[in-house]
Amino acid sequence: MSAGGDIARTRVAPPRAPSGVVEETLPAVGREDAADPGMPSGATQTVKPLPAWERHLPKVYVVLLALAVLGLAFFPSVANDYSVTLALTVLLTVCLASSWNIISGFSGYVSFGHAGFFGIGAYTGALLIYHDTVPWILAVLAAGVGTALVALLIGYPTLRLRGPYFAITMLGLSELARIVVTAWDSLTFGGSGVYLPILYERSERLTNYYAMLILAVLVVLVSYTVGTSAFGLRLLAIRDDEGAAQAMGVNTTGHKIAAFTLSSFFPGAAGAIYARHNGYIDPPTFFAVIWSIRAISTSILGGQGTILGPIIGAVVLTLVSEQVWALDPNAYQIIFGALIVLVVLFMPGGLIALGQRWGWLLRSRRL
Amino acid sequence: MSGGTPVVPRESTPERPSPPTPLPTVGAGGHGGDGAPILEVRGVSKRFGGLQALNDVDLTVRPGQVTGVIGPNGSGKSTLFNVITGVARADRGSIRFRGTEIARLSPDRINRLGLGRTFQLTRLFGQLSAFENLVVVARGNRASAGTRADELLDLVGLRHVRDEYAANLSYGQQKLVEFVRLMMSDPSLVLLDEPFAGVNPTMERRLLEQMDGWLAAGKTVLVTDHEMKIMMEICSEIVVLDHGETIARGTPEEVRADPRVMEAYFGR
Repeated sequence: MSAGGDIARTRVAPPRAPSGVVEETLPAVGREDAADPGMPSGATQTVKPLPAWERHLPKVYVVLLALAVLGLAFFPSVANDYSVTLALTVLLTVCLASSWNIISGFSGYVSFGHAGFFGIGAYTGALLIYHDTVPWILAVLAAGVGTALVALLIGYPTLRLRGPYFAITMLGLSELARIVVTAWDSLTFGGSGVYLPILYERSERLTNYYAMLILAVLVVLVSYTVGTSAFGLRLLAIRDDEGAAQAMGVNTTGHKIAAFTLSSFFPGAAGAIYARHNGYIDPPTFFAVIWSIRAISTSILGGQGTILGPIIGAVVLTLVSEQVWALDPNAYQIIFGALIVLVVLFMPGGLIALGQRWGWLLRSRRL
Repeated sequence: MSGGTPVVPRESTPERPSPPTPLPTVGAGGHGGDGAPILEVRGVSKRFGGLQALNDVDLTVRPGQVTGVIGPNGSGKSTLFNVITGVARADRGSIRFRGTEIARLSPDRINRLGLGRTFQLTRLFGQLSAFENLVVVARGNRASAGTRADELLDLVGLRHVRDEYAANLSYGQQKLVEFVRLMMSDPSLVLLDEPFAGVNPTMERRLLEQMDGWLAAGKTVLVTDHEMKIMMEICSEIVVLDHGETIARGTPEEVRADPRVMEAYFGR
């Protein structure tokens, strides 16, 4: 141990010096970056067009989204049933992907539970409609709320698991839900499924489409609200370093449970609407793991942790997979899988990051 | 740099044997060192499998001054910090922070009581901007958090990288951001885990400047580091750990003169 000599080492500037003075006495760090050719020089005020927490979504995107919603609202009056169903599938995918993004994209907890939530919602809604307990719209709401309650119950123990353990647990619970629904004959009609009233009128069938449209608008609004809030920022901090976030005073468990519960409302409600649209549900179809994979791959393709990413992903992926499926139903899954692998390998930020790199999109957290 | 009085207590260094004022008389709101302890660790033990990481450790931190924890690698310094901040849970013992027992609380609760920390390796939120790294840990009003964050970035001359991703900042810049981030929650006690490891002399000085500012604002610092020279200069009191046990405590000279400390560091 050396004696503590060298006064200069600890004789330091007075605290709370005016910023100009501090800047002047600090040769190394600030300057080395100011000299960087990529940076405008010499400035303390230069703000790069990067994620600006306090800024809102630029008007042009709001206008585009509003136009898209308006277009979709009038779409059925000009389109045939096939196209309407395809649009409904796109909207369903928006619901699944955007809601998955709220827990998994923002906080980084990759969930394979969406299939389970979708199935639970589908069964809750379908059984309420089948027994004619409440009007179908209330059945849809009840499906969403019921699913969120299930998520609240399982969130507390499972969200303490990190990384792959959480993903695997959710995969298991999703499968468990399918088995329970299949086995619980007296309530769910087991493997024979539930037949729902046939909707003969086109206007009646269109109610499903409009319900899905409203749900999609709602999930995007929620996603936007979360994504631009302090709550959402803390979810991103949890994604980046949960331990540090907690040490900095963020109630990480509470945040994760809130995001998880909020997120699960939408696959639940969407499941009920889709059940009504489909007219028949059974466990293998509505608890199929493909629903989770669809939510995940759509978000990854579009750009997880962003607001527009899941929407763009849903449009692209649904339309592309429809084409591929029409081309060859057998090759469909292979191409689908290969596409995801390519995206993960070569464009980890998804289409949003690609657009930002090429200068098509604003580099803002708002996206 | 106006050559004012050195704010970090230095009276223990041999060059200045008789300082005009006794221990910490730091800056504006500086408390005297004889107040009630802000942190009291009593009989804390922690075992990891077969390793007794901490064995019956006591530690008292007085308000308004810098207390140091030193010891060879593996002596339990980081474990002690983790136990105090709730990252690890003590098997036995009591930890009182401003009179509140915190040994069973979660890290976020402990932080909200006013105890902030840094990590051995800088842990910023890489995909958030420097500015966001600050506001994300703020409590209360969003607008005032933003203003405060900008002030703090100004204070360390990092306003120009405000909107840069933290992951893209240089190591020194990350250290500074982590230092000012601590201040967003306005802690009364700050734990610094090896803040001077791997930093160049300029950065070292800037970190010390920040600490000076904290002390001037009446905050308390508990620090561990291997940079003996700095530790001897800035600490009013030092506790030496070895193999999870307290082997010495006292002023820097007392510790330096203690044969057990030499033994722990240089072997028998």
